[in-house]
Amino acid sequence: MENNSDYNQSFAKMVRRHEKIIFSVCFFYATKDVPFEDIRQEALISLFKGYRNFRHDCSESTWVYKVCINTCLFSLRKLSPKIKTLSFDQLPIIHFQDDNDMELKEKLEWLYSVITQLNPMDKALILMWLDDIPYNDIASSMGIPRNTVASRLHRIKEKISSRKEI
Amino acid sequence: MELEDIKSKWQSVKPLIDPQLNDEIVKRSISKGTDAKSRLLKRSLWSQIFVSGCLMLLATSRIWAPVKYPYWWLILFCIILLFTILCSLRGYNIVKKINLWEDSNTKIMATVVSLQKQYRNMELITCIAALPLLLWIPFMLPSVKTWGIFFCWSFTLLAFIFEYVWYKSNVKQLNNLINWENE
Repeated sequence: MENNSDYNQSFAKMVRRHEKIIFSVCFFYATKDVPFEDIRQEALISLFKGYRNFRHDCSESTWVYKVCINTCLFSLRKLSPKIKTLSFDQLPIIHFQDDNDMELKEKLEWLYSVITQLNPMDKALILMWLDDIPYNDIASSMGIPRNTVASRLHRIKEKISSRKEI
Repeated sequence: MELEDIKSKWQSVKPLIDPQLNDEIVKRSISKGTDAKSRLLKRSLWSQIFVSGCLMLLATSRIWAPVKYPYWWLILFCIILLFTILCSLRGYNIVKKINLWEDSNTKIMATVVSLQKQYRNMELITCIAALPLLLWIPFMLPSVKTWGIFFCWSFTLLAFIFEYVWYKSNVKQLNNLINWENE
């Protein structure tokens, strides 16, 4: 990163590469007190500040996940007196690229209802798992042993197994 | 329902989501530059400056104040304020050390929880220590007249009601932290 302009451009490209990760993490962590736009702004600022020192110890996507989740957890804990999950309808309107999106909307609504019932740590775990982040990377991001990732996923499965499918 | 079902649904939905992330939002984030951590540090810094100001005023009060408090009272109150400043400074350093880009989720959570507990303890200790000193003023200071006593009592009562409300809201937050797994 030679100068600020290069750095800003490189950062903007990185954000474009991982915009869906940023979106999904902020989408599932947004609350009434910390709305989606605010939490995404927090995540983007954290990414901007940290990208200069990204050491490529893990893949870029894993790092983006880690920063976004850490920022969400930190922001929620420090800013919000009480975490209240929003109903799906209160979330920002989702624009799908396809016009025939009713089925997709239903699927996303179902996913939202399943994922938001989890506690924030389990939410972080499942979000990374959904995107096929390797167990080792999930373990290092979460600060838990690799085996614990598997056992926690098993517990999450039990927790949501009673839910109806769409 | 299997986890794989959730994954397959997510994989089918994800490519079709438009994240609505335009260049303007990215630019705004770059130019804004203050995140939750920086804001928290700034807040902590301002509270330290405020308490330091109070400490200086109290320490020099015998020079300028119309009511001369005894030295032992001033020293004890200054110690309480100094303790508050040191605790705040410690908290400031703990927040500063939080690395959102390198630390694990668990480490950040543990740090935030310990910070909240430390804050709660500091509030409790300073309140318990300051109460007898404040109560001493209307009872023991002979030079304070009736209106002065009334003022002292009202001020003490108001300060403690405010402190209690503040403390309760912090305890609420602390409980949220402890119940993290159950949310």
